[in-house]
Amino acid sequence: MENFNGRKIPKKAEIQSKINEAASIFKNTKGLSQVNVSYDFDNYIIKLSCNFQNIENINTGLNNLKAKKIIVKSVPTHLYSNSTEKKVFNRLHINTYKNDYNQLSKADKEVFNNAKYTSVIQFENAIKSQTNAEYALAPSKKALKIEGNILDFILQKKFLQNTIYLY
Amino acid sequence: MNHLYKLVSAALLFFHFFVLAQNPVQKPSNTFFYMEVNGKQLDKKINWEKINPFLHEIEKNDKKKMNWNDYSKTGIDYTATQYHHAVRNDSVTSYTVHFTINNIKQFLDFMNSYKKDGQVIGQKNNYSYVDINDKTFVAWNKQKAVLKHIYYKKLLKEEAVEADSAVAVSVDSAAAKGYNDELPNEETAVKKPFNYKEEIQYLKEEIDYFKNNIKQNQKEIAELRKTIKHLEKYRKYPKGKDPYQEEEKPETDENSTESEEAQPPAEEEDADLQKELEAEKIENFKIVRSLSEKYFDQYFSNEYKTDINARMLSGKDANADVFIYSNFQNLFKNEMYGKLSSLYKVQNMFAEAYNSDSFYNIYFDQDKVKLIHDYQHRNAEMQKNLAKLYKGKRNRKLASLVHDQSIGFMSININSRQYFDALYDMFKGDDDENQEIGMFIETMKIVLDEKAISELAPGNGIFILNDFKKKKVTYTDYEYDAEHNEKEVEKTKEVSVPDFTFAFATKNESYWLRVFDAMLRHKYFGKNLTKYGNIYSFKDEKSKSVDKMFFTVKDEIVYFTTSIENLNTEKSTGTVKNAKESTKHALYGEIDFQKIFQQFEEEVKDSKDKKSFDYVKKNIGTIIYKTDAKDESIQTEMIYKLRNSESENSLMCFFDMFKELYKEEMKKEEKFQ
Repeated sequence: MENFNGRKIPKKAEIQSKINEAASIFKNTKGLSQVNVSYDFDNYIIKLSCNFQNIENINTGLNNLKAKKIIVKSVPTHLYSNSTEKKVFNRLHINTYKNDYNQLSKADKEVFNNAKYTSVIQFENAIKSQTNAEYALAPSKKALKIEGNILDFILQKKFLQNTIYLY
Repeated sequence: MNHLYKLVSAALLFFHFFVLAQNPVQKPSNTFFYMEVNGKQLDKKINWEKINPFLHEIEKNDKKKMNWNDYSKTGIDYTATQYHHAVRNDSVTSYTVHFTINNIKQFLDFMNSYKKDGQVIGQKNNYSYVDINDKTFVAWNKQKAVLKHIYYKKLLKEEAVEADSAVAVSVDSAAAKGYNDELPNEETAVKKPFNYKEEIQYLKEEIDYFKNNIKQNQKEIAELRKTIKHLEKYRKYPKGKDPYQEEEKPETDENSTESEEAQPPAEEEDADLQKELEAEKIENFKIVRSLSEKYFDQYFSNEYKTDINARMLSGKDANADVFIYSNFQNLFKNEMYGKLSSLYKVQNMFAEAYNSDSFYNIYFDQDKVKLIHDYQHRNAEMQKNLAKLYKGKRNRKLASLVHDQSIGFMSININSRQYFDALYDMFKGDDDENQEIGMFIETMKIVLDEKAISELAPGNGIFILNDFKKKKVTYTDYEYDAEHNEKEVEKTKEVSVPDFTFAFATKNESYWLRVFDAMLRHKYFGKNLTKYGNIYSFKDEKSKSVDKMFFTVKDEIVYFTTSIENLNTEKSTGTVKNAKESTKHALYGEIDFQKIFQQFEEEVKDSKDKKSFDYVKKNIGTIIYKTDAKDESIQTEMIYKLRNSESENSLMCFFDMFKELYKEEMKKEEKFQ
């Protein structure tokens, strides 16, 4: 299949080339290490994983991707902030995609109907409190998880931003 | 969503509203589409009592109050024939509709509701006119009206290469702060001077992306064009819109070739560009309005007399509800393949392929919709060879493979030997002087042994969709433990895979057996191939769709099938009426969509989707397709047979189905708002 809903579907080689380029940029971003990429073209699951010294290194990495036009300008890059002294971790507010979604055709909107979003944040220290109750706290109090239909986040029924206070 | 339905309803309205009396209309020679709608017949088939409330339902969210409340009373004579045509030249594409008025008061109410608020109706000597929007114009007198939609695209000149160099804008080293010091290449890349030309190229690529992918994103395209104009003029991004702002520190005066003082304030730049864009828009509007007026003047001052092209009407059946003519040769030659063909010297082939007239007659009967398409190539020799191609021999063995439970099938009975003559004609075209093409054809004739090739497959074949079978496939999912650690898990699900048979006749069995034996010994294919007696079996457990295939050659037939049982022709009753019919036509196909929908029932889980799905499943019918060579054309007849229809006729059946699906879609829209 070359197209879907009138949009060009990238070839496997194009996807690999783009992701490899992204991985290379991450590898060259200060504070990011152990950058790994895995492809599963049977299920179309593509993973880009890395370790970071400070969570802000991820923001820098994403900014570098934007500068190299790997991701488009509308993708948010300032996602996290962390204060080790105050022991506060912030998942920052990002712009809504509601208007972009509303402008899509019916066929394109349907793509999102059954899509899920899951995000997990794990810490070395236990969590004292958080401001967003949608995040489920693990029994050890060292991990948080938020999940839902992607439309819950696009249509702002659920929010990602959270301020987490650590011990 | 609502816009989509409005568009469809508008199309339905135009389809019915815009009509013309006895006089044929002007149709320039570069008309690629022409349509006549038989208003007299269609008016009897439309039930306004059903349509009116539905159209009001669609319109109910509009703030604008309409001056009339009955769509059947717009002042337009529905019983007259409608005439539509589309014309294209280098920079202008237009679509024109002509119609007759039988109640000028009602028509004025109709126009007053559609035109923009405050828009003044212009007056000329013999007609009135108004613009509905920037591209659509309507003109009328007491008897006639014309709607013209014009799209004008200014032809772009080759961009002159500017002699002056790009502005060097240095990037503060702090911008590369996040980069590893050991990696000079990345540093260099970040420090690369800003090149406005590269940036323009990048933004143009982005426009292509939006054009290809997001049709509705006109706003974004306009914004990017505006930015391009800014970059062309000021060689930098507008203030506040610089995508690299986060990485760059403010430029120092010594590193910048353009001082800040030389730059106008951001608001001024914005206003200048806005002015330019507005001027361009006004210029385009003036051009399309002038073209419309020229057409209206000509039409209304010429007593609606026109230069009718008899060729376009030669395929018309007076009993059809709708007649359409099309010839896309110029469109394809000049627009789509123009550059390609000039590069590869194959312009004749493309020109020849599209140098044809197509006539479509559509009939909305009580229990079916019938479309008859006549294809006539303008090159008589080519048409003769095409007709020979479509006159193949019958083959009853293939038809016997179809059985009562088959979902659908498509058969072909052509003369494959004639294919080569048609192909040579296409390459050759009318250009006898083109020696390169002549040489190429001669070489092809020497290299190809057409007789031997046509014996491999003389032209009889059939594809039968027998059934859909359930198959378990594995997929990867992610689960999380109590501590939210991610775990990759393999799950299984059932999917429907097609069970089909493809068979074709051959006069050279041994060739195909040698091919299959060679595949058996092949390093790559051989791994999945085995042979049982005369049957070759291919298995690929990893495949998610067709995981096994059987093929063999028997009694001058080559078979490919997904199930070995399909090779047992004895189980076929051979009494399926339309299967026998298939032997009589060059192409014949039949498909029962209800049977297909039944196969995918379990895969529709959302209750809202299920309602629509069940409705379509209950009412969707069968399509029958046949093609044959007639005296002067290749004729294709396509019939859609209605099922469980309680509607007045097939036209209203489509309307009822559309209305039902619209209702369900509106409910879904509410859910996701």
